[in-house]
Amino acid sequence: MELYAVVRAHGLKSRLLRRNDYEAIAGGEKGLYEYPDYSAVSDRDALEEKVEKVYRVYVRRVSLLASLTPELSPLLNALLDRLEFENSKIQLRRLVGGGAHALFYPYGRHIGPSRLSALRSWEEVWGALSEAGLVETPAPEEKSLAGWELALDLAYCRHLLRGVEGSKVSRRSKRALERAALTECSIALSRWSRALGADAVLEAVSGVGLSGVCELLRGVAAKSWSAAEADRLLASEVAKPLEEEYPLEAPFLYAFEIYARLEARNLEKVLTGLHLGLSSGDALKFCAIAL
Amino acid sequence: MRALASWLAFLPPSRGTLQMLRRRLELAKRGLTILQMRREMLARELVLLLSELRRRREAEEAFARALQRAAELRASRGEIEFRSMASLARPPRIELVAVSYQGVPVRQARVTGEPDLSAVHDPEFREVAEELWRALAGMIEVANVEEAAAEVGKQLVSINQVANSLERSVIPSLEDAVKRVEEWVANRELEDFVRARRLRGG
Repeated sequence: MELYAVVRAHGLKSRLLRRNDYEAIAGGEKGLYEYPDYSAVSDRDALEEKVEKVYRVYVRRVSLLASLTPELSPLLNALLDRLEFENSKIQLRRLVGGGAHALFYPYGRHIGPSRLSALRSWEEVWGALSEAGLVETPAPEEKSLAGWELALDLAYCRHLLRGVEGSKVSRRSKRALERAALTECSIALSRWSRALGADAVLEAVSGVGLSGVCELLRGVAAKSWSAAEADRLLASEVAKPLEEEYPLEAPFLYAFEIYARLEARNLEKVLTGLHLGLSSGDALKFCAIAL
Repeated sequence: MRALASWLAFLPPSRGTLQMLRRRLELAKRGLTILQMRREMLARELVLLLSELRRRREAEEAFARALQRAAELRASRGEIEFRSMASLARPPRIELVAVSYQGVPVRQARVTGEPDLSAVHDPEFREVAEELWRALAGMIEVANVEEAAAEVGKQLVSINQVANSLERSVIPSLEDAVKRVEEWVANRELEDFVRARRLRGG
């Protein structure tokens, strides 16, 4: 099944948008609905509807691969669960910010936006994640939003590494997947060093026992990457090596997930840029176009 | 003005009328002096306000830059994250109050509470939000000055109209009427004097 899923992933990858496609969409030469996977996205949709439909495509693609490969579903589902953690952060910001209408990622294998939006405190959010098996420790005693969000990011890293651990793949593939997951986590966590300071992040990471991430993070914690740079790094440092070294093995699925995720993010950025009336160049400059 | 002219034309010439007209002329002249002083004060205020309005271009450019930066941040982070982070910023409190500029009541926007950005932990979001608020506060100041200049200008135009009317029409008409009635009174006095001399046997 692993090989079959990899072959399907190659098929799905061939449908991912290329640079010229992004340029055509950003330049207004082509509508997003002209691409078969995005035929549901109408020009008449509001921005939030378009973004939601774009993420649905990403979730559908990765869910398909997860359903095809039970041996790899822990990893693929863990990768998708990132959206549950992101939604949890969105709900916490909503609670801190006074309950404004929030836009959630359209994903809810465990909790889902409707249940999440009814939760009223950090403890409730963490409790829901704990019930769903996404976190294994009691709620950290954090008082600030930044502390809560960092705790969620750390919990996601642990969840992802558990997903790698739970996948039934060859030892070689597992090592590659673990390395990729650690790199991804270190890139994601390094962004906290700007807000909280590199030492505080390193301390938090070592505090939850993510020693592998800690080692990688030491090298990159002082870097100050923008969101786009972090995305580009994800493509060049994680997805590309996996794709090149393991074209017919499980790690390719991880690479595909990153490409699909980046496509969703890129489209979100392009659609937002177009909505704001930015030029085609400005709308594209924040994208991490890997293909 | 036509009403004043016809009223003056049909005034019964008498000493009483002359006294009344002289009082009115005096009042009009005093009013004109006061209005001219007020006009000068308002004109000085307007010049000051207009000199402050030179900052408008700078404020607009800063606001446009801040908006562009916010748009770029929104495009770079995507709608979902941007909206979620933006919800952390508590908006400023702005009230409308009436302020007197040389006695002219002007509505002014007063910031009674700065926006609360303490929950925005992302440095990039916070920088953009702070820049946007600084630019918006600058625009509010400019809008206040503009509103004041408009109101003071309106008042100046209105005072100018009244002063011009007094200067060019009311006072000359009253002066003509005073002159006319004075001549009539003088003639009457002369006639009375002649009549009295005749009666005394002249």
